[in-house]
Order: sequence, then C-alpha cells, then structure tokens
Amino acid sequence: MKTHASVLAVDVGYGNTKVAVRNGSEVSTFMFPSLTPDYQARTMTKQSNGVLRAIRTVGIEVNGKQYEVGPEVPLTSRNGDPGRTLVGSYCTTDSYEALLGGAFHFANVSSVDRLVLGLPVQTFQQHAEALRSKFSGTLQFGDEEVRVGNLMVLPQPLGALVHFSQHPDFNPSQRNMIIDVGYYTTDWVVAKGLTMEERRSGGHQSGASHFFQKMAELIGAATKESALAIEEIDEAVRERAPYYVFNEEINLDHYAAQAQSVPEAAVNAIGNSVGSTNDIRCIFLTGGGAALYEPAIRAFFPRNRIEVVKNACFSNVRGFFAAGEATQMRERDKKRKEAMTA
Amino acid sequence: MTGTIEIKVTVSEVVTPSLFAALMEVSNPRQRAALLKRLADDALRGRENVGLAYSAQQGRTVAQQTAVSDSGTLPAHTQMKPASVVDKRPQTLADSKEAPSETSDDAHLNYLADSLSAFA
Repeated sequence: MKTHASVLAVDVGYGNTKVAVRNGSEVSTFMFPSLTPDYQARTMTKQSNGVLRAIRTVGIEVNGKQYEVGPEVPLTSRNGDPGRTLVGSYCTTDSYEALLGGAFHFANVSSVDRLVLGLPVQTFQQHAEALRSKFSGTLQFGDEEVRVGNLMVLPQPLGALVHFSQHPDFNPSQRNMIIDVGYYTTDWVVAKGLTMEERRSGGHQSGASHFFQKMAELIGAATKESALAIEEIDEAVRERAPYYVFNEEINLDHYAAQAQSVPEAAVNAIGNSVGSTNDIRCIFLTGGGAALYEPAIRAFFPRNRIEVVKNACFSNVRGFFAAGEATQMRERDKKRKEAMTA
Repeated sequence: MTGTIEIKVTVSEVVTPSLFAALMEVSNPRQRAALLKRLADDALRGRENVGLAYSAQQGRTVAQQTAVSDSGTLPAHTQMKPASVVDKRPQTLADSKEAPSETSDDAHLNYLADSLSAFA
C-alpha cells in the first residue's frame, strides 16, 4: 500500500537518482542508477520458485514504452540509451520521467503535497518553468498514477548549501562556494548566505564520467582493449575493488593520477568564472565525483578552506528536502492564519 | 548508583507532527515533559529488546533498506553521562558525520522559508 508524503525530494542526476523522504522522525535517503533500459519481464525468476532472486527493478511506463528502473538495473545497459548523452534538455526526456516514476515507486509514495526537483545551474532558467508545469498535478506512469500538489525547482548545488546552512559554522552574512561534481557536469554556486550570486555561478561539461572515460582510454591504450565499460571502472574506484581486464589486474591509482587533466580543465573554468576567492569563507565539495576532483581543486585554491562533504552524493537531495519542508510549513501557517481571520 | 540523563529536546510540528499535537494538549511544561517520558517509556515497554535505533530501521520500506541507502540522521540514541558534561558541537564540517537533521529548529526553518520562497 503506497502512502501520502508531505514532501518528496528527488535529485535526478545523469549518474544516479537520489531520493529523500520523511520516515517518522528521520529523513531517509536512497539512490539508484539513472539508467532506463527497455523493460524485460524476467519470467525465469518467477518460474524458479525462489531459486533465482528477483532483482530490485520495476517497469515504468512513459508515453507507451516500458523502462526498467531501480537499484539493480544492469550497469552495462548505459550504452545506447537515449538518456545517457549529455543534453541540456535532459529533464524533458522520457528517461527523466521514468526515473522520477521510479523514485515514487521505491519511496513507496503515491501522492505528495510538495515535490522538490533540481536542475543544473546552466539550464535552470531555461527549464524550471516547463518542469513545474509538466510534473504538477496527476502524473501517469501507465496504470500507475501519482499526485503532486505543487513542484519546487531548485538549482542543484543550492541543495547542498541549504543542507549545510544548519551547521554552526554557517553564517548568513558570509559567502561560500559549493562545487558540485556530478556525473556529466560540474556546477558551482557562490552564495552570500543562501542568496546566489549568478554572475559567479555556472556549470562546465565535465564530471565523473569524463574522468572515468579518460581512465578507460588510458587503460585501453595500455591493454590494447578498447571496449571498456566506464561504469565498471567507476564501481571499482568507488569501492576500492580490484579491476581486471581479462585476467590482468589494473592499478587504478596510476591511471586516476594520469586522468587529472580532466578535473584541471573544469577547475580552470571555475576559477575564470569566480575570480578572486578572498571573499569566500569556505568551498564545499559535493556530488558523486567530489573525491575525484578534490586534488585539482585544492591545488587551484590553496588559500581557501575546503570541506569535502561526507555522503556527498546525498547532500543536494537533503537540501532539497529541507527547502521543501520549510516552505511547505510556511505556506501551511499562512493558510492557517488566513482561515482564522476569515 | 542511579543514572540520570539531561536532554533538551526540540519537538517540531514538521518533524514529528503526532507527538507535537499530543504535547500541545498539555500547557504545563512539567506535565508536558512527564507526558513525553511516559510516551517514550510506553513505546519501549511495548517492544522486547528493541532499542530506538533498531526500531527506526524497522520502520523503513524495503527500498530504503537497500545497500545504497543511508539513514540521513544518525541513529537515534542517548548516552549515559554525568550532568556536568557539556555537549561539544563539531568543530569542523568534516568532524560532523552528517549535518544535523534537515529541519531541526523553528528559527532555521524560518530562515530557509524566507530565503527560498521565491523557488516555491
């Protein structure tokens, strides 16, 4: 039985979809890969009487087509999917919609008063309004229906700043910079308190996928094997697990060091956009690729305090959730006061 | 020796609406604190060998217990300590395992609402 939630926050990234929902006095978060291969029902699992374990995916129907979505979607399915390539209008694709449907499914939510979504800084102005109208009201995923009272759209890195605005070190009168290293893009926001300085904020088409792609090219050249899946390299780096090409174990640290030219290009773009950083109290690194870009960022901004956010991949969605609850509470109070005076 | 724990608790309407409503029924602060203790104690007596952290885990959906999940706030727990020991807040962001729970006090909620209402 699916439930009603006051607020549901979903950060549909190019790499992973992150979700935050209140669960009693806690806020629970989970994520699944932003992959949407064609759905194929696994009849063998059903017929095996429990011998084969059912994988945690679900078929989500968008515009008459079923997509497979979930924590255990096959990683190698990234190839060839239309939602994989970097497109500025990613939020308008069927893949995006299917991932959102998956978020509702795995959060076990069928209706929500306020849905909070994020957009990259570069495409925020272009798509925020379209997103609001597309994902408000009743959303249909085949036979499944979810209801959204209203939609709040935030620039993605602002989520991390909102999340850390509760920390004792946060001062609303001082400037901080958030650098959000995503899968395909790196976004940065300079903000005084929570007020964004748009002139010093922006995005660069560089992220964890470009880093792993560079590693794959270097490993491919060394091993004379061109068809290496970057998702496998990604997983091995994140989990510090051994990585093999055929039977040869690869020293990933060696290739990660050689791939530093990728983050260096992004950091140069940040430096050009932000200018002098002597007025910035702290630089927060967030996003799934934060650890990969950290050495280049520390080298470029040696005099700034730099904090790498723990559980960085969830910090945006946590901030989205906090923003959703705070604004929802304000509106509830306003309605209550209006009802009392009426 | 008898242990005591001093705890200052903020009960928010947003975070725990049912508890907030129950406590609002009582206006006297001492009686309100007594009600909170009774509710917590009754809840614990209703379960055998179950701590708060464990019960919080049980309340999750299957998806929220996946390997990729993370609980957000630290597990609910209290620590026995002398009343003279003062809580220390984390000195740096790196020291804090997580930021505090998303919407923990009214002043901060108001600050967020003031700053972000344009996006709503």
